[in-house]
Amino acid sequence: MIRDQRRETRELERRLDLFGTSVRVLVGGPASEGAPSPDLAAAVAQAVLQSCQAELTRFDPGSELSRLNADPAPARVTSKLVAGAIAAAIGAAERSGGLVDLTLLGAMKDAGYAGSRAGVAPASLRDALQAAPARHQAAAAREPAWRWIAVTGREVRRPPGLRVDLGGTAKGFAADRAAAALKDQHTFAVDAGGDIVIGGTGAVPRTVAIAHPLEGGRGIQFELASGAVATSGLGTRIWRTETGFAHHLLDPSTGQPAWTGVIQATALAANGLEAETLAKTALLSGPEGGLQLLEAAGGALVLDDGRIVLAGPLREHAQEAA
Amino acid sequence: MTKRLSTKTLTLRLVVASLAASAAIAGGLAIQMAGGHDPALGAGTANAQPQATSGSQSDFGQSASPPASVTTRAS
Repeated sequence: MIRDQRRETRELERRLDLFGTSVRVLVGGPASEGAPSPDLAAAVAQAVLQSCQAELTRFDPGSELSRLNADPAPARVTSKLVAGAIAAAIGAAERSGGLVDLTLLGAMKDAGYAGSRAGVAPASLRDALQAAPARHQAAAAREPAWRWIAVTGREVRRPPGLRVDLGGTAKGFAADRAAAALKDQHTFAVDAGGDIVIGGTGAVPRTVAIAHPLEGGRGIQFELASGAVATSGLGTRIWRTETGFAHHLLDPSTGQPAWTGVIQATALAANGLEAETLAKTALLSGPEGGLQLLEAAGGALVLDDGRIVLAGPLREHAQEAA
Repeated sequence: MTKRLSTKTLTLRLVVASLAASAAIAGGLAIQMAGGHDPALGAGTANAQPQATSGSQSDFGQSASPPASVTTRAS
């Protein structure tokens, strides 16, 4: 819901380094009657985010996800959180027509993204765009391996050796869970590295800016009182290879980095997981397909030449950032 | 000639003064709360009750009104 009215409020803020990025929790009181205090609610949200990081990361061999990936047995009883996140990622794969694929871990490592890149300076996106191959939209894998994954309660079944990478899906999933702990507060925002869930009983509009990946700073901004917004792009997880450049958004049909003509996609949705799924799908779909995808709920694409193209409600509500 | 106060009288006066001070503080807090200002939220500076977290930079500050802006970006 995009709102135009404002009123004053104060907020508590927590900053965390999680998911290889910067995370913020903002909570404004007073809470609804019977709800926890803003500081207690923020502490609960922080604990939720930390649990998600601890269990869902692929970069820690001791995480629940890593233990699942290392287990050669066809079925494993895992944690409720991991099972829920994998089920959510399978749902994202289905809704995206297979473009958001949780089974590309091998290809991701082959592309050069084996370890965490937190704190690693990205390669120049401008240089990468000049060296990139011809643009074309990505496609689903011909034989999607994620269709072989089944989650029943806390049990995850998959073919032996098939490994799962939750990637950006985990951030949207985590932001939604943290936001659930804040729903009775007057205002709140959970910003999991750009996957943002906004809400609160006060329905107070909050300014949301979209960073521009080439020019730096904020590109456009709009007001949002409740809902989610997420951005997927090439600008941060991009690196040099022996033959050119690579990034972390892979074309499932080839297992190679996707160069679609879109360098960043931002999507609005009812929740963080859906926004993240829409944003990634829009980027992989290319300029035309991406805009169609974002038309219903709103969003923005940044094309290779730096132009920002707005979709849906954002065409009326967005303006250049101050 | 100065009148000397008994220990009992002094104690009584201290108790009364203490109660009056407590009432004044409580009244002030009530007035602030009624005005929409919760002192527990701080006054623009860090009101830190951080919980130690591995690999985190956690602080409990206060942002200006209206709600703090957020920026979505690829990460």
